[in-house]
Amino acid sequence: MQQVVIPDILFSLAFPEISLAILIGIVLIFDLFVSPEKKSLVGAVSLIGIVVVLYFTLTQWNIGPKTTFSDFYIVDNFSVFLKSTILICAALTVLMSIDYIKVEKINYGEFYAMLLFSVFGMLVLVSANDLMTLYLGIETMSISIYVLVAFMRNDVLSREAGFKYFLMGAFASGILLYGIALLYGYTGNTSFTAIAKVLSSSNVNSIVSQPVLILSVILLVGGFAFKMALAPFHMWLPDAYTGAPTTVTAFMSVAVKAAAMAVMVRLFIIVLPTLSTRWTVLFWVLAAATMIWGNVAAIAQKNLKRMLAYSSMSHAGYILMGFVSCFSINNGKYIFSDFNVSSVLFYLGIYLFTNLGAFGMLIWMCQEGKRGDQIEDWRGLGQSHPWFGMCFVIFLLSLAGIPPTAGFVGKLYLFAAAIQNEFYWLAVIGILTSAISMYYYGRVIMVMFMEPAKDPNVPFEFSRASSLICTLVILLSMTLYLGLFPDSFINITKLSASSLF
Amino acid sequence: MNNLPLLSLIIFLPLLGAIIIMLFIKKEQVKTIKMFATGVAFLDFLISLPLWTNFNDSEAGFQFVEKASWIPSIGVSYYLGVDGISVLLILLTTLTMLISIVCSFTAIKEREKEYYVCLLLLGTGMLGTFLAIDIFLFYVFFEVTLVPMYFLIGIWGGTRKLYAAIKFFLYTLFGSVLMLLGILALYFFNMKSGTGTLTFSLTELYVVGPKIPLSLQVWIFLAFFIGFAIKVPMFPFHTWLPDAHVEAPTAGSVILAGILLKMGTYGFVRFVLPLLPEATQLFVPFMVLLSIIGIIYGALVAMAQTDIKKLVAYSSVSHLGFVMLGVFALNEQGLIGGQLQMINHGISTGALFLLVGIVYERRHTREISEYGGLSKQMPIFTVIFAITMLSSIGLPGLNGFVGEFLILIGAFKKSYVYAAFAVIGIVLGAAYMLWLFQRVFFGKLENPKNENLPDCNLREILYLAPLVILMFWIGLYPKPFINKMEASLKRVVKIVDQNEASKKVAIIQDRISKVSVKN
Repeated sequence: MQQVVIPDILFSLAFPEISLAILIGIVLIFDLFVSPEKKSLVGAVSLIGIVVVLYFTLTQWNIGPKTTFSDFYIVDNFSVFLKSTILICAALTVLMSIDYIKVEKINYGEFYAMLLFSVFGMLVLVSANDLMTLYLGIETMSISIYVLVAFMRNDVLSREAGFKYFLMGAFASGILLYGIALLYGYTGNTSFTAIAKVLSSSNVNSIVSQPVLILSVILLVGGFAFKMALAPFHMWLPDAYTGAPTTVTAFMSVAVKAAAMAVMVRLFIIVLPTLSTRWTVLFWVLAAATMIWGNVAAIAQKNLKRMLAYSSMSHAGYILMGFVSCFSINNGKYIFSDFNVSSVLFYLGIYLFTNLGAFGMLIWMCQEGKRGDQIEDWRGLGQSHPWFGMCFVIFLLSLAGIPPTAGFVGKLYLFAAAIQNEFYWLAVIGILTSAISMYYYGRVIMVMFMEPAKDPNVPFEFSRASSLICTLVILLSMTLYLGLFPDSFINITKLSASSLF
Repeated sequence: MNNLPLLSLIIFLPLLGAIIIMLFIKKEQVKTIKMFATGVAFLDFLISLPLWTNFNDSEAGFQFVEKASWIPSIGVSYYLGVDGISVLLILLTTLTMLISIVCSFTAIKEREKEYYVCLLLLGTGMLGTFLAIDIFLFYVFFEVTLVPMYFLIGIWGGTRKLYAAIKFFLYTLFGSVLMLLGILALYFFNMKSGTGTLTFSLTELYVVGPKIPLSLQVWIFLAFFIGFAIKVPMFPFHTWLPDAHVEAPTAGSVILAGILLKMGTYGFVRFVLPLLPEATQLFVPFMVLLSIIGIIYGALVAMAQTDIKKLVAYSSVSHLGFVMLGVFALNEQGLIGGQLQMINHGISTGALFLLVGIVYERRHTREISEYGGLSKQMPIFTVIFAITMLSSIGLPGLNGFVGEFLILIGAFKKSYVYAAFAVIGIVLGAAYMLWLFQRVFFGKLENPKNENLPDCNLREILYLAPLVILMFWIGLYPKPFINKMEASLKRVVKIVDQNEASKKVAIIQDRISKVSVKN
């Protein structure tokens, strides 16, 4: 009789995910007992649950790096930071959604459950140390998001958005899987640590010229480019972001990028550094194309939500710029740069607050039968409600990268990262497109403050939900605080980045 | 008393005032807002006076220094200081802010609360730009000034305000983000080959600057050049200026011409010359060419204008061409002249815009053809305009002459060709100014709308008076002003000329060795 060996599993390391799974169960069951008018209780329960999960995640700071589930799952400072970012994003989204889904008449408890499912997928993705966990995480995250995008069942735009995203996403997942299969085929292992060992032990030149590996890199890059919505793989983005419920758009624009970036950093920098001459070029082109395409396309938009969608696409380009410049070759040796990885992490952190804030303003304007989606709807707001107008102005200035907001420090950090490793042209493209972006952000500011209201007698309708106002206050103060005193946050990102190496 | 963070107070007092107005004063209480804003600006001017009285003229380095650590992880510190280059600009800024607040009392009749808040925020930004020694801090304040100015032009501006506002914002933003590349290149050079630490503070970078290899210096110079040349504005980057000036409200134009343009020239003297001496030497012909084109082109285009404000805007281009000529003469007289002319331009062109604003408030037109023969109707106004105009031309006895004369000496020392072209500019300057004066003030009062125009009232005389007094003071007794600037500017000249000196030494040594070989 063969002996059955039970692998040594440290369940305590996976405590955030386990507690999140339990939370999802609680939410779903609780939802059965709540009457349709009181669905916000389900939201409150999920919010409390997310805070608890966040607490468990934060207790994992500085215990790593440790792996479990036979090396499928890794915990280090990097994963803790990004998991916290995603959980904070989810918490703020839930807070904003409590009132919003009532207005949009999709007040179902399943909304919160779906959101939590996608968060689960993201957490698994951030801690993935294996190709199979990677795929598991991506799929869990994506399928839940597809459902969330199509959540407004009675709105044709939402259904179309969800379907478009789902179809293209499924295709992209297939491409990703093909790349994963090829990588596994060459190295014989799915674990990241094992693959890295196999690739680094052989001669670099022979590795780089292996057709299987080159093809695998191309497919992997293609799959991730879709997830991050990099040009020209971004075609699903404007429709998906515009059609989805605005809280889902806000959540998607930040959390999906954070999770995808996490696994990309692990995969490409830790596992495939030997192939960096291959994928650096690919990502360079993608980053440049994304920054240019996103900013130029946003100029033409009249729909504010679509404009913000293109703007978040261009921000993915800036983040990628920081990621691409992670590598430099010095005397034939690959030099990691935790300066660059920390710039990516820092930007994801402040982007969370800024982007949620910008979308939060859209949510604020959304009332019964009237969405503030068109730029024209915001005409003259600055005169009747200057405080809210200023709030939006600060979020827009932060997106554009104007001091003294957090967006400026983040962009500076990204450009510094690019210049440090001598990616000068990428930095120039980034800087110029960043200046261009001020045009369309400035147009919204102009419409709000410098143009008279369409009809002075018709007052602006906006939400007065305390949950939303509370969220906006938090986001605004974080945007300004991180712009004026970013030091502690930069130190945290530096610690997170250095834990990778 | 010595331990008071004077510079921080000067910078943040307007911000505090703006926040108080935003939070505690209702928009209906217009009089309170105006009084409060005036009070804040006056207080700010008063606390900036110790910078004049307690300034040590012989000290070339930074005085009243305040340093605190801000973002140590990337080497940014909260580092403020004043030296000869910035001290007069600070005083000019606080004075101009006070004057622009007072001059807007009757000019702005809607949304006053936001207006005065914008003006005060602008004040904070400008003061911070001149006082920052840490380049990151400088850049933050530099960009911060763009937003209130954008609002000033876009909300309270003229007919094409939206176009002018976004053009101003994007044009200057474009320049400053490219400058950011230069800053970062400098920062990383310092980390890799300089002191080895991440730092943005100028005192450390001044040491590293001359060590940068020429090829990198050229690129950094070009990056800074784009940023500052758009701000100055130098030809051919000046096209945003006429639109911004004409469409801005009076106070906006005064601040724009008086202070914001100086940030460009200040940037050249503070950053480009000391940090990149070899590249500066290399680019002198190019910069002098652009300055001279600016002088002559600005003057010629000014002559062709029919709108008084646009004429004054182009005269700014011409005058700042003079300043740049002085700066890039790279000798003591040129730099002192250029620096002094910065102040003079702020005073005289600021006064010109104020005067145009006065007459615009009465007639709501700036077309020269609408005026004529005003001297009979508004004698006090005519006198003040005459003094300002003569100061702008550079008549001896008034401030413009001192600055222009020093610049000409400096340019002549560099090459008499430069001085020749500059002199043409002076003549042209006199031409368009005198012609403007003649068309507007002399001749017959033909237009019936001009017949009952009220002369300057007490408030207007009060806010123009300080400028007129300064025009005479600097013109007749410039010594205290020049003394303040001398030490720091001498140091800049020394840094820039070091290479020239060492080249001369090398040439002399070469000749000595040849002579000794012959023997």
